[in-house]
Amino acid sequence: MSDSQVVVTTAFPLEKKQKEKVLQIAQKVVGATTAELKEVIDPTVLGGIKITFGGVEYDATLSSKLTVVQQQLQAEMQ
Amino acid sequence: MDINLTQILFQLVNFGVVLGALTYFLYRPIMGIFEERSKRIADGQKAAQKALKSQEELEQMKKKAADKAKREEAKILKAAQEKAKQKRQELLAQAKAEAKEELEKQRAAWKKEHAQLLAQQKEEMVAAVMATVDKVLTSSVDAKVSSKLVDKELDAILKSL
Repeated sequence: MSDSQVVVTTAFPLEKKQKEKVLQIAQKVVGATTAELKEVIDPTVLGGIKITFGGVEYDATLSSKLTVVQQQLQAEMQ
Repeated sequence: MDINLTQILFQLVNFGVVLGALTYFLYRPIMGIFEERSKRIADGQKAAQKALKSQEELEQMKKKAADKAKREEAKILKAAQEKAKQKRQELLAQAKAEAKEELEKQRAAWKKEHAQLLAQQKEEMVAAVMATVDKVLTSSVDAKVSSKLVDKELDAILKSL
């Protein structure tokens, strides 16, 4: 994956407006003016979005949130 | 009546001779026999007294020996009782200690097992909850809901930059 490539993982395909927002985020974070968007559809993320580019990762998927909740629950139960 | 002095003198001499003979041959041996008998009787009495004394001493010794034996017996019995009591206490203490140790072991094992079981149950419960949530989300999050979630997350990221 090159620095200008932005990988987006979602459970369902993104709308055009959403893709623009993703590129806008990439531009603001790494200053990439011509970023290439790679869309990955993964139903196991359940919902939300995961953005990966230039060594940065925003994981706002439901599956990752569930994992956090599960870890917290397990820690609480100890 | 005529008094014949010669006859009187003769009679006196005769009496004296008879008296002397009797004294010598009869009185003295009889007295000797009597003295010997008295002596035997006295010796016998002394011997009897001595025997009686010896018997008394023997009785006293016997009594002392019996008392001593009785005291020794009591002492031995008391010592044996003390020893038995001590041994009993030792055995009792040992049994108590062993029982306590065994109880502690059982308690620790039970506690460990209980903790493991509890941890396992909690883990299973969390897994069940998460599986249920996962199932609910899978069935309830459709493209529309997901799109809303994506919008919300993207707006939040943009806002934070």
